[in-house]
Amino acid sequence: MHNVDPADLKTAAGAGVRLVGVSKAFRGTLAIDDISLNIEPGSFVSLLGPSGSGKTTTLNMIAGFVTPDAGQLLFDDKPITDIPPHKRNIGMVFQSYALFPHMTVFDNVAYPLRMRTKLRKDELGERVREALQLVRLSGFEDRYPRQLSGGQQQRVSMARALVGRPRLLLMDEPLGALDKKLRDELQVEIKEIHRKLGSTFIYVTHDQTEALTMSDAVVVMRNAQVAQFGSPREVYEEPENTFVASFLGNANLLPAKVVAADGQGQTVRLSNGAALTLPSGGRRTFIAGSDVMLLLRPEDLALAAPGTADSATLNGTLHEMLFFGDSYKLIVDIGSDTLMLWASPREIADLSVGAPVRVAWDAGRAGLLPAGE
Amino acid sequence: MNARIDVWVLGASVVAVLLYLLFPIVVVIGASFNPTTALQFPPSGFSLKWYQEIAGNPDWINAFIVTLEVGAITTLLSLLFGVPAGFALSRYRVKGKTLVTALLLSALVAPHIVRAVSTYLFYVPLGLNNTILGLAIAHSIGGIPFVVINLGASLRSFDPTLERAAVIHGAHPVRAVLTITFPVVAPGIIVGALFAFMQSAQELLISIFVLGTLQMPIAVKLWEGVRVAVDPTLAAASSLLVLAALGFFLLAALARRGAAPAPNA
Amino acid sequence: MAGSQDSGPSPTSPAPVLPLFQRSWFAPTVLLAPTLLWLIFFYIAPIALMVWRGLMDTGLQGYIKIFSSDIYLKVFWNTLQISIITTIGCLVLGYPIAFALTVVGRRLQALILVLVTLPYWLDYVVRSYSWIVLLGRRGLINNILVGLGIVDQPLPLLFNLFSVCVGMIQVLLPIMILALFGAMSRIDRRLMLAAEIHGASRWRAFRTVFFPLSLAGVYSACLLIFISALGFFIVPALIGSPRQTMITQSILVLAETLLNWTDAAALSIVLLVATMVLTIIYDRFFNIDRLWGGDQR
Repeated sequence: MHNVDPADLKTAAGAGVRLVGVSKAFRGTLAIDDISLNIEPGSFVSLLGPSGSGKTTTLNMIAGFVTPDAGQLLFDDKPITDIPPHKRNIGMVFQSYALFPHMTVFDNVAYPLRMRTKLRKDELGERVREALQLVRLSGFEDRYPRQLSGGQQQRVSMARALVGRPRLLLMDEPLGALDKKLRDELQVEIKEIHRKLGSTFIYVTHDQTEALTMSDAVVVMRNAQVAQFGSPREVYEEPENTFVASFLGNANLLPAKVVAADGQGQTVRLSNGAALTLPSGGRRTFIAGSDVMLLLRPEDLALAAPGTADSATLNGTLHEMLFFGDSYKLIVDIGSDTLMLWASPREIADLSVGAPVRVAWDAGRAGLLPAGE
Repeated sequence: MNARIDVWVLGASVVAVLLYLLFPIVVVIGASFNPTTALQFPPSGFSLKWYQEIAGNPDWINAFIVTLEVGAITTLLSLLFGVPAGFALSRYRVKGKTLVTALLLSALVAPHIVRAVSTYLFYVPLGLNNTILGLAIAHSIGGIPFVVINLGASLRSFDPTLERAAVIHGAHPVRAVLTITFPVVAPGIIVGALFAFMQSAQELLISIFVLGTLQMPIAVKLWEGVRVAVDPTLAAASSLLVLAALGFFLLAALARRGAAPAPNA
Repeated sequence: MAGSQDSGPSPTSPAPVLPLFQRSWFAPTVLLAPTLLWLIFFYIAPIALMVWRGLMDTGLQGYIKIFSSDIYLKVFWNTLQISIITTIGCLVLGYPIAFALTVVGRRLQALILVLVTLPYWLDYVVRSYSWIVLLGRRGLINNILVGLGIVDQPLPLLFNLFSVCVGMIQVLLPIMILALFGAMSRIDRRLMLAAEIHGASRWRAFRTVFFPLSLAGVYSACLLIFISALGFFIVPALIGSPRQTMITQSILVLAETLLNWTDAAALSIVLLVATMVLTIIYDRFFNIDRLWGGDQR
């Protein structure tokens, strides 16, 4: 199945990375504000967030390009804050690829080996060819970076990062400059490479789909802080706040007030007066009277079939419907709030804008989040 | 509307100005092949006798050698002082930066006669007058700014991520600068060095004051020649300089081409 | 609703540089100090000593003498006059070429640039010298004019103000063209199109949009040419007459022939001060620091 025997490349083990109360300010503005993270050895962790949220600074700090003002950085429980970047034994893929323009592909990929090891010439060549094979770029050894396409340059950059079998690999928006089709392809390849290598991967991206598909864990960042850290499913299905909920995927967030909370569940009232009851479960609970946000993912909503009980539906007016090929995107007005949901062309039938609609919701999948924030 | 007329007028003025700029060179080269002692263009025949005269004249040969010696030492000094300064000026924020910048800039525009007179007076007690080294030192003042400017321009278009890529993959920062930064910006340094050499080779006033008339670089020799007697030997020497300038020009163009940034990089 | 990208206050985090280049005073000092000392010793010290010695010998007397002497005032006037004519001439000839460079295709542009910069590599003496062949009484121009019967007598084209300006413009024109071209290529060409779309003729689009935008570049280039012209020597000496004597020539004669070092030094300082004042003005308005990619102040 694979061209390369994974055993050849497998690193000893991924490095565990720990940030303890780390802060960094640039010209008085906090770029990282008291962040603590524990990244498991061998995992694939994404730093996800809007621009300016501190994700790149965090990555640069792990690389050693940025020294923290406060806090500690540990690899495998050993503090490395004072170790300069060139001694950290890290591989890194840059957004601009940062290939050395005056060197061939071979020399680019061989660079880390030449700096860090004293390999014999034939061993070195063997390792470089192995790495190029892993990124499916065999035969390009003698080309110069300017003779390669963007995707090929990206692969060379990958090969250079992993040729030294680093236990930690950093990627700074490595697919940001590529078109969508190529990006999708490379996502799969990077994931495969991660599995083969067993190194820890830390991956910076602002693309939420990329983070969800590739990672074992996602660090959602906002305003120099960690908004949430968890598995892709956790951050998507159980967001801790409205920012995370709306940053990952589509979210309907409706302001509501908790009117009753007991062992059976919590009842909230929406702005249009409708009352909904959520069953008790692992979700957080609020005391009666709290202002909350009701989270309903579009995929948990559907047009109600005739005869559905009123308690499981929300009544509204169809505000807009947009054709997406395989489905329609519906915008439904519910009082002063709006809901977004998907419907199949068959369900639409004779529906038209302005018509009253009933939206069925899955009480078991709805969530409550603290209002404000 | 009258797009054609625009284009014709513009095109004609371009051609006219180019003629104005280049025709004198053609004239000098043409006159150098004149078989008679008269300096005229178009030449009345074709002869290489003035070139032979130069080749057989130790004065001229000596002038070429002096120019080369002064130019080489000037270039070396300009690189020695210009490269570190250029690197520091575009990389660091330091206090003395404005001062050095101002000095370099003023050295570039300071009238040569001022530097010539002051350097001559300064050199008297130091015994640097009438020495090749003395002239090269004086010329390096004009050469360093060229190295700094060209290196600065190259460093400005240099992607600092390359240095970080080298460091994260194991290179000591100093080694990263030496193996990555300098090779990438080398074309800029080469162009700066060529400029430094050319300004030395063309400089007349400081050369007159510092070297006197015992040793004459080509610029002085031409100058003296023009003042004494105008004959086609000067045209021939000039034509050789045109040839040398052309060579230098091509070298600079090649170096610049090497500096062209790669797409997607 | 969905995906509200609240990025909050975006910390303007600078692209991280290597720790080697952060907050360090050691490396820049080691790199800059030798150059600084070299410039101070071999460039500033000689000039400072020259000024000092002049003041010691005669006090301000030397300067007063210079500014009260008709001969020197005439020399100043010559220098000013020739520099102004040269600057204007360079602008008039250079502007169309620089503009043409911004509209032609890349290959033609490269060719013209090569041809424009080619003479820049050539010795000043050689360049001036060629005008003797061209403009002399029996030079090419007069031969043609007489030959065609346009004039009876050869015209006095050489060794006068005309020939000096022709020679100086030829020397400085490449710099003017490059400076103007640099400034013009920063003007967004689509602005011209926008003007034309909105009803301006080509000429009016040029006059109302492109030309005003190019003025900053014009001023900067003119100042640069003027500063360079002030110190000229070879051209007026070779193809001018004594009536076109410029400052540099006077200094040379004073020092070399008359051995009058006091006046030579004083005159040098006047020229230097004029040059530096103009350069400082240039720097204030056009930020010379850009030349070596320093940070924009």
